[in-house]
Order: sequence, then C-alpha cells, then structure tokens
Amino acid sequence: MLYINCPHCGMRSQNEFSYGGDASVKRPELNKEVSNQEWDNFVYNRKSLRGKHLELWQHIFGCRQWIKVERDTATHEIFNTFKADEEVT
Amino acid sequence: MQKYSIFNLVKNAFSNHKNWDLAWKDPTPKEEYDVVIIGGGGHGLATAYYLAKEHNITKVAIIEKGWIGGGNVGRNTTIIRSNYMHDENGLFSEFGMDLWRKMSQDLNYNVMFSPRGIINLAHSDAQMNAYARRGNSMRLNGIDAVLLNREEVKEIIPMADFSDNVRFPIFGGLMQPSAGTARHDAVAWGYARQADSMGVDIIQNCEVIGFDVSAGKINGIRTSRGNIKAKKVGLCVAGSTNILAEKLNMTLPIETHLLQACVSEPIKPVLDNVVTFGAGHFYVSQSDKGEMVMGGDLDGYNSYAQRGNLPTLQHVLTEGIAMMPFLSKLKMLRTWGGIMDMSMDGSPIIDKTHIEGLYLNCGWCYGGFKATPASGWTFAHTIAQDRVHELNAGYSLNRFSTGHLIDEKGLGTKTWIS
Amino acid sequence: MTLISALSNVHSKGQFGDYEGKNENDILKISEIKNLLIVQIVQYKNSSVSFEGIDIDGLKLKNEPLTVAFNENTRIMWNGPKNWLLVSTKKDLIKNVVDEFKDTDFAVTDLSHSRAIIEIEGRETIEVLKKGCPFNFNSMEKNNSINSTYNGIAFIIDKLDDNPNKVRLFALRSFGESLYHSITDASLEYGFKGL
Repeated sequence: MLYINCPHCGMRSQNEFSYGGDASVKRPELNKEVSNQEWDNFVYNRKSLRGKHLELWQHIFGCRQWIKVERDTATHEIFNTFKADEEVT
Repeated sequence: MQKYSIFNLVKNAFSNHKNWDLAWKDPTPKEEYDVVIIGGGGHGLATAYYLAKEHNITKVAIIEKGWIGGGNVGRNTTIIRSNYMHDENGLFSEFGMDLWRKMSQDLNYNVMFSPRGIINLAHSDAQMNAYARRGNSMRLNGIDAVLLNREEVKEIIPMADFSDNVRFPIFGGLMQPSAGTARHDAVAWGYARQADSMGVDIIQNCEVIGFDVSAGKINGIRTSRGNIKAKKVGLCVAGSTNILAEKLNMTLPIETHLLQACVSEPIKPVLDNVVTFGAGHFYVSQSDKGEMVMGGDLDGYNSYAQRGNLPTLQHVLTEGIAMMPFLSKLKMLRTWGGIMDMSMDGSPIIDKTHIEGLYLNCGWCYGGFKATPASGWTFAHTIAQDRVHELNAGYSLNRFSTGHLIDEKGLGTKTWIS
Repeated sequence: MTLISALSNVHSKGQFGDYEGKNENDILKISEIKNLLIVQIVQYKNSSVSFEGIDIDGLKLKNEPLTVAFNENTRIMWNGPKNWLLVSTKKDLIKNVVDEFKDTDFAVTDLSHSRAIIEIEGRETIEVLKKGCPFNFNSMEKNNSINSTYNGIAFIIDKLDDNPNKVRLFALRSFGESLYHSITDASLEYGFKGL
C-alpha cells in the first residue's frame, strides 16, 4: 500500500488517489507553431524512468486536487509531494 | 539434439533419467554475431528460433540479464486468444493461433496447449451489441466467434452468479471456442531448446550496458560480459524497453506498468474455460493442477518493481467474487507481479528504427504471452529481410505520428487507466 | 410535495446482528439524518477576496484540513482548499449564505436533496469505519472531518463526539443505499440498533 502525503490534506492511503502520469510532460505553448515532433513528445512519448519519477496524482476521494509526487518506480518509495502549481527543482 | 519421445523416455528410465542431455548449453559470448537478440523471454527466444528455422540465420545470440523465461513469460496467466476486432490485431493473433496449434510437434516439447475456449461475459444489452459487432469482425477475419445468450452461458459456467439481485447480471457472452491456455514455462524452454540445437547461443546473466552506434548504424553492444559485435540487434525486453531506449537516446510511446496475478489453492475441476468479467477487468481459468488462475487490472502507476500492492488485488478479486461467488471460499496460494510495456494505444510495436540494423519489439501491454509465436515469427522476418511482414505492418513505430493508431479498447493514450 | 428521504427504502428500525445478550446501550446505533440544509461553498481559483470576515450563523470559515467550524445548529466542514460544506438544521440559513458569499467570487450550491446521511453512535463506530476506509483514525479527533472512501464509495466523515464515538457520514444520494448496505453489513458483528 502506498501512503501519499497530500500537500492539502496530509497522509492518505493510495486508495483515495488516482494516477495521472508523468508530471514532467509539458504541453507546447499556445498560439505558437508546434512541430510534429513536439506534439508527439507531448501526447505519446514518455521516458518512463526507472528510479526517481515526478508524476501527477489526483486526490479524487479527498480534496479532489491534482498534486505532484516524486516517487521511485523501482522501490515505490515516495520522497516528496508538491501542490500542482508548485515548481519542483 | 536428443529427441523427446516415448522411446527415449523408456530408454532413459533404465538409467534413472540421469543421462538426459542438457536442454540448452551455457556458451560464453563470441566476438561477433549476425544477429543479437536482447531479452531471453518468450518473444526473444521465439525470434531466435524462427531466425534459424525460417531464415537460416544461425549465427545468433540471445542476451539475457537474468535467466531465460524469468520475466513475463514465467509470470502471465497463460491465456491464448485472437478475439480482436481490428484487422491488424485479429489477423496477427489468428496467425499466432495456427502456430500454437502446431507448437508442441514443431518444438518437440509439450507446451500443453489446451484450446478450452474463452468467454467474455456481457452485462447489458449495449454490451451484447458491442460483442455481436466484435464477433462479426472476428468472423470476417476467419476467427471463430459465437455469441451466447444467458441460458447458453449458464449451461457452460453454471457456477457464475445468475441470481436475480446482482449488480451486474449476466446477459450473455462472446465465446472464442478455439482460444485457450498453454504451459507458459514450456513455451520458453521449448523455443530455447530448439534454438540452441540450431546453433543459437543463449547467454544468460549478461546485462546490456550500452550500444555501439556510429553513423546511424548499429555495430554491436556492450555487455557485462564484454563487447559483442553484431550486424543486427533486436530489442525484445518488454518492461525494460524504456531503460534500453534511454541508452539509445530514444523516447518511445511506452510506459512501464505493474500487473499482478494470483492463484488460489488447488481444487477439483470446476471451470473448463477462460472466463472474463465484462463489467470490470477480471479473468479466471483453472490450471491443470486445479488452481484458479486469476488476474485483472494494472496497479495503475509507473513501476519496475515486479511486485504489486494489495489495493489492486482486492479490487480485482472483488470483481471475481461478484462474477463467481464461490471464489470467496478459496484460499490464496500465491500472488506475483510483472512489468508491462504499455504502449499508448494498447497495441504492440514490431518495427525497424531510425538506426540501421536496430529493430524494436515492444508494447505488448496485457497480451504478450499469447503473441509469443506470432511476435517471434514476424520479428524474425523483419530482422532477416530488413522489412516488416504484412502481418506486423500495422504495428509500426511511426503510427503514433501519422495517426494510424490501433486502439482496440478505445482508451486513448492512458492505457493504464482502469 | 412529499419528501422521500435518501435511505427510506433501506433503513429499518429494530435490532440487527450480534445484539443478543448485550445491553442495548452497548450496541451501535444507526440512524438516517434528514431535513438538513447542505450547502457547498467554493471560492473560485482566480478570486483573491478574503473570506475571513464572513460570518455565517456566528461561524467563520477556516482554510485548514480536518477543521469543522460549529455551533449547536450549524457545522462548516473543510472539504478541500477553499472548499467547504455547510450543514445546518436552520433551513433558512441559505439566504444568509447566498447574501454573504458574492457570486463573483464564490460558487454556492444547495446540495440538500442530493446527499444521504448516516449517523453511527457507539463504542465500535471507528471499528466499523476501519473495515472499509483506509484513513488512519488515530489522527482524527472530535470535531474533525475528512473526505475519504468506504469500499470504493466517496464519502465525508464528520466526527461529532468521541465519548462514545459518534460520526455522520455523507455520501452522494445515489450511492446512499450502497453505503448503507456496506455500513450495516460491517456493523452486524457488533450488533446494531436501527433508530
């Protein structure tokens, strides 16, 4: 069982969350020329890192906010969680 | 190679079965090969076998980080089927069904292929309509499909919940009678033994550290047991695809996810088909040992852990009990997890790459085991001829750019959503 | 218009489960709460006005997890960042709420008819909740509220008392009967009295 520290609600169980995928993916800027490659990278291509992975989760059964979680994909250890609009360095 | 037969079995009985040949050798890597296949799972072993058998290419090595058959071919729920709606998937899988039927004779190894039929249950009129459509698409592609009504399903699986007060009543189902199961380990071992006998080097405990690429062409690989030159390299590493892609500076439309399965304690024969729940994601069959073999959803987050978490298992088995209440009385014997190469449309990739001599076989999602022979056969063709076969032409890498997706389930790019 | 409560088809009075030989006061008490005003108050993301000065029935909003602002008639639970659920026996409080929270900055929604409410009281209340909800109840005190899930059903717990334990569970009205079945099934082991 994963325990995820929701930055809004505190420590909650995995059951309350739904997964939203790689959080490092950025949509190409609006009102700008977008190349096919940029669009593919946004929609389809994923690094799927083994090790530290920044990902989106939604606290769907709790405060319903999207959050970012830094988690190890090999050990499932969670290092840190952030609000959706927090910059992660 | 020593042939497995009743006569050899009797002969060897006299020496207490101590004089059987090893099924495959343990060679040290040579300096150079015509083809190096990375990944000693079902698909890699099958690819090497068909390279040797169909294309006479025997200077082949299989490079495996652990031991052969230790990944998903040893961790699946052994289901074999071709009940797909889309032409690409249907024709590819049905080609595989032919290979499955002949496999035990072909490999001189009993893979215990058991065409016991698969039933996808429907729980609404709308689902019955959808199944009728899929069944018709299958039949147009020469695949057997039978639409069953509620009474016909009850005839076959009376132990399912046909009571009046269930949340998801059984309206009927779509059956593919020729689908079934096989002994998964035997598939890996059978391919390995035959490939080895035709001269393929099976090199285990050998990790690929890097690739030797120059001027857009592959020249070889670097491994924990030294450098190996190769004219052609094929990637068959399922859940580890992204790790190797990173070493090649490639980003692929693949995410690695965790899938669990489990078996109950063995019980007397009760279920002689594969049955899937239509209002969720759960499937069950009974092994020859009597265990109920069960599986369902992904854990739902990127993972390389090869072990799962309880919430998903609980969720999956809740569906199982809704479908067949007697399952709640069984004790769980074992649970395990494997890592899936989830592609962005739910269909695989068997293709050349932008690097000359480098070939890609990945994106098998939930359906890797049943594809083993067809995947090996078409991948061997793609490598040997340096062009895709018509069977895997649809499984191209660039379909994501061109928009020719094969989205069997209609899940879009989030194939891990459950 | 006849008012039909969310659980009127499933909730029944009487004693159930393992209640025999037990003092009636020792077993769980389960009841349906109805005729409450339920209002969701959400401040828009792009709104920056202060909500701290706003007074509803003598209560002030707090943007902190777990907190419940309460008096004997009204409880305002924190449901998420700048998101509260007001529950009150004073049905006419809605006028006050609509007046105080300007619709340029707040979304105010009357949910009175779209929630099912179950109240459980008794020593084993938390044990019943633990059976279907993954929350760590050791960290929940009197007058705390959380959003979580019970056997896959989204619900809100409002802890009214801790001696004996008394909670109110809020679920979507359409999930009310399912939640009620889950809760009463989990309560059979301890014996319960439907009020």
